[in-house]
Amino acid sequence: MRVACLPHLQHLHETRPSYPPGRVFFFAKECYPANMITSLEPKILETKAGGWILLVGPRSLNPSMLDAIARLGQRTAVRVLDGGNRFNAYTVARAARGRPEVLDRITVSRAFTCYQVLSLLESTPASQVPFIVLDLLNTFYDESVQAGERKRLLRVCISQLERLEIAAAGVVSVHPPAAPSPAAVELLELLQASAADTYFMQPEAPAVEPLRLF
Amino acid sequence: MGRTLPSATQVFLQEEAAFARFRRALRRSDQHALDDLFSSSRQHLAAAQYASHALPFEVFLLSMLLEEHKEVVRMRQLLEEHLSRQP
Repeated sequence: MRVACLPHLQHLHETRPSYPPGRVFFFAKECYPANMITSLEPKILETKAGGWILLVGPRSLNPSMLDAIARLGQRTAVRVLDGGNRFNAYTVARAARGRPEVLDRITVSRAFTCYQVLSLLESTPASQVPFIVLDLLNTFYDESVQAGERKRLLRVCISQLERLEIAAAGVVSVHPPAAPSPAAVELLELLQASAADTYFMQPEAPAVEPLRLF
Repeated sequence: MGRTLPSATQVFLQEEAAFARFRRALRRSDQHALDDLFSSSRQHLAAAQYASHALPFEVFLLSMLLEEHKEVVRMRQLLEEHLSRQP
C-alpha cells in the first residue's frame, strides 16, 4: 500500500493529534504528496484481476471518472456499482458520443443506503467483467446509522470486493464527506488497508486565460 | 430516493449556460436569433423528457428544427394564399 498525504483532511490533525505514524495519512505540509494525480489516466482503470484500486478525490472529479468509464466501455464490458448516485448517464453518453454499442457494454446498479450497498455487492456475481464502484462511502457517512454498524457493514463490503477482485479488476472511488469526522477517517482507513493501491486525485488547475485586449 | 438523472429542464439550462460565451461573442441581432432558437426548443421540454434520449441536446436541436419548419410551412401557406388571390 502506498502512502500519500491528503490535503483536504489536514484539518483533522487537530482532532486526532496522536495519529499513528507510518499509516495512510501524514500531515507534513512541505512534503510533495506521493501517488497524487490530477487526471484519471486510462492506465489506472486498466488494472488486472487480483487487486482493486482505491481513488480518493473531491466530488468535482466525478465527470472525469464518468469519462473514463465511457472510454473503458469502448473496449470492454464494465459493471458500475453506484453508491452515491454519481452515475450521470447523459455525461457518459456524451463521452461515448452516443454510440449504442458502447453504452450497451456499461451496466449500472445503484444503492441508496449502506445496507443496499452491501446487498448490491453480495448480489454481484464474480465474473471477468471489470467493476467500478462510484462513491462507495457516500452512504456510509450517514450518521443515522451507528458508527459501529457502519464499520461492520464496510468490513463485509470489503470482503465482497475481495471476492470480486479474484476474477476481475476493480476500481473504487471515494469522496471525502461534506462534514469531516473521525469516523469517516476510520472508514477510509479500512478501505485503504485492503486496497491494492491508493491514488489521491486533485482537480486540475484551471488553464491560464490569455490576456484580453478589451 | 432522489433523481438518478437530471430532468430535461435542468439539462436544457445547463446546455444554455454552456453556450453563454458563444452568445456573448455574437452580434446583438444574432443574440436575439439565438435566444429565439432556445426559446423555441424550450416549448418541447416535456417531449424531450418523454423521449429519454441518451443525448438530450440532439432532441433540443430537433425541437429547434421543428419550430423552424413550422414557420416555413406557415409562410408557404401565406405565400400560396397571396398568390391565389392575385388575378
